Amino acid sequence: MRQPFQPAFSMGRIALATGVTLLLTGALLASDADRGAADEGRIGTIIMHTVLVEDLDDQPLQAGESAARKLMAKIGDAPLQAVLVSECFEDLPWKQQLLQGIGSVIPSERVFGTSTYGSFTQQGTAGFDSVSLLGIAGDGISVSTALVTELGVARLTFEESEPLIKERLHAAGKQLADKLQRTDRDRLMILLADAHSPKNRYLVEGVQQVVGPDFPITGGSANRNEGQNYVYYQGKAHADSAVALMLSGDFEVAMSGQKAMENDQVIATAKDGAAEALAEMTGQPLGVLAFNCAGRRGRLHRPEDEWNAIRQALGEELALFGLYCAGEVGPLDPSEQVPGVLVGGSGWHVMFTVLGR
Amino acid sequence: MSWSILRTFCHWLLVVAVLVAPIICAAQDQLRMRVETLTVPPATGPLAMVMVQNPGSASWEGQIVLRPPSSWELSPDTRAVRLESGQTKRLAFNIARGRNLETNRYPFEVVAIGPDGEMTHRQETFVASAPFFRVQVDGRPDEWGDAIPISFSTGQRETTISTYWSRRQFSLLVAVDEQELIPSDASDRSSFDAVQFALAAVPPPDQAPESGTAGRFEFLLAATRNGGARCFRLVTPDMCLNEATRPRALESLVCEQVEVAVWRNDGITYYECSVPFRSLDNAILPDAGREFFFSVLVHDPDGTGLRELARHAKLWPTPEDPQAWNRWEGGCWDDVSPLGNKIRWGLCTSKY
Repeated sequence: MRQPFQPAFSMGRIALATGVTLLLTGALLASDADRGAADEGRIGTIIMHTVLVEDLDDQPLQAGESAARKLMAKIGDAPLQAVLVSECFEDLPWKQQLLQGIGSVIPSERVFGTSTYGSFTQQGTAGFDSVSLLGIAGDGISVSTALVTELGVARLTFEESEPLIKERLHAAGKQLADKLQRTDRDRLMILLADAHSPKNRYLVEGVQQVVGPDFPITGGSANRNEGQNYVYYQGKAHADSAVALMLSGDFEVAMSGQKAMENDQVIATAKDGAAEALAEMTGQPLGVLAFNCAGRRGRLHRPEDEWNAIRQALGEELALFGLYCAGEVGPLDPSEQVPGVLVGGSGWHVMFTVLGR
Repeated sequence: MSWSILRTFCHWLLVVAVLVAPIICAAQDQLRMRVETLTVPPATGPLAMVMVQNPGSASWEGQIVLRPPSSWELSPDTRAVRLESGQTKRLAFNIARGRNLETNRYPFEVVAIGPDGEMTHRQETFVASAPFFRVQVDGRPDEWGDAIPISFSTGQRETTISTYWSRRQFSLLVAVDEQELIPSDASDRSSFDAVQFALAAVPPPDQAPESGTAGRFEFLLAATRNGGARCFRLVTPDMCLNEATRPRALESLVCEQVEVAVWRNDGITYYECSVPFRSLDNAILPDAGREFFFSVLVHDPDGTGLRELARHAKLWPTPEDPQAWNRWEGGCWDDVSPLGNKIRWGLCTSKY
């Protein structure tokens, strides 16, 4: 008996939307950042803007400063809650110069992020010697952050040390989540870590021991090329570390995650995933986070094809903050899902999260 | 008498034909199957690719089942396929759970289930991938511990090949277990020890193949008498195919852009080099996950003769093989052409 033809990999399709209860009164302070509208019983504003700057002159300091100025010009007077950095400069000295440039415009305590293989926004895509910033601002959103260092798994292999990797990353994930200030308006955690696929699953599991299996988490693993594996916390670079940002406020989150490893499927899953998350958003979209696998990009015959597909799905105006990572966190392909668990850590995925209200 | 002999001959001819015909038909019906190299470490859950070819005169329809190393999971492990006569297909199998092995030897079984029964192909493949690492070409092998080495034997002599990449260069270390190192400028020898390698872009499937041109770079690494080393660029992609196979004066092909060191330690000759991506005319994008074609020939004239990485990769012989390598003067060439130069290779980030 013959089986019907099946594609080599199933294209996972999960979408979810978390409902939000508007808390007009009595909100808790959720942030290390500014007290906002919630304290005053208002919904408040939420602003998301992105910029993408390519450094063609080998001047990371100026690139950082330029990117930060462009971002702040877009954000205007709205209170800045956090800036996410996705950068692809080579080696720590250049990365530090970049951070210094950003820090010359934006208070360092607001700067978080990770080294990546490149970035994409609604304006375009970039690889080496580029930086992308996402500004999260407004008094309707607040951000709590945490850092855990010395994960201790960078040079451990799964084959020899999986139990130890699991133990250490479970502990690190739990510690990270425990450090965050929690409120009942927590909507989304962003997790950035020097723990790549397949190790990232254990970090996520550790976080879930605290926040629960159904809490929306998205994120990505730092560039794991030798000497490039940094996450950024309050403007400083840390290897072998993980950063978490808890976004809180009166907004909704819609997520999708899809996996693919071949050109046509990479393009199709990117388009479908973006469209799916956007369709699940019942409110007005504010911006999109896209944690994408660098390996997927490597399988494209024309690297711009995937970005074009995403832009077709999302339109050209909506703020898009895309990162090419070494592992992704979000809703997993069905072949990797654990029943009752909303998200996980894996590879070869593109994870979209639409924020809206 | 002649009739009798003729009748007897015809009888036996008929018997032989009856006996042999099914064997011939079965052979024609047999599929060729091959598991390609893994271009990303399997623990990250990449694809395993299987090549199937129908050399028979009739179409073949059935299922291809891939059985991975123990404890792995494929999703799915079976593909339905129809192959017309002479057709080749590349089938993808998703590795849902894989394990990296220090030996870099991964045993697979491919089972073809067709209308005439099952056929099994057993094969080891390996991870053919260059992790990111900026190596110094300095005659020291200690920086190569984070590579993913591939070892194979030829005539009981081992060859080990390791690769790295960085933003600006592709790097190669070939460790050759051999009796003696013959330098390229040895006055009393007509042949010398050398490593020859080919690099080529993987063209998009919708791009028509460029016929008539080499479509690859080829380099040759060799030692010199004074303890130095030289690299020769034998072939560039735009050369016409016939020209690309012909030997030329090596002195005119010295390539200064490629850093190279050759040294010998404890019975092993080491060839180390870094090729700037810029010198490859952007044929290979330095980007994690990117694939390209690569292969290596080791010339050991006073020992094993030619050592072919392509044999370890189980490449199929093809009619194009005679044009796959430049036959430089002084190499270990034979009447039989070496196998082709197109082993799928990848750029990955790390083996950890």
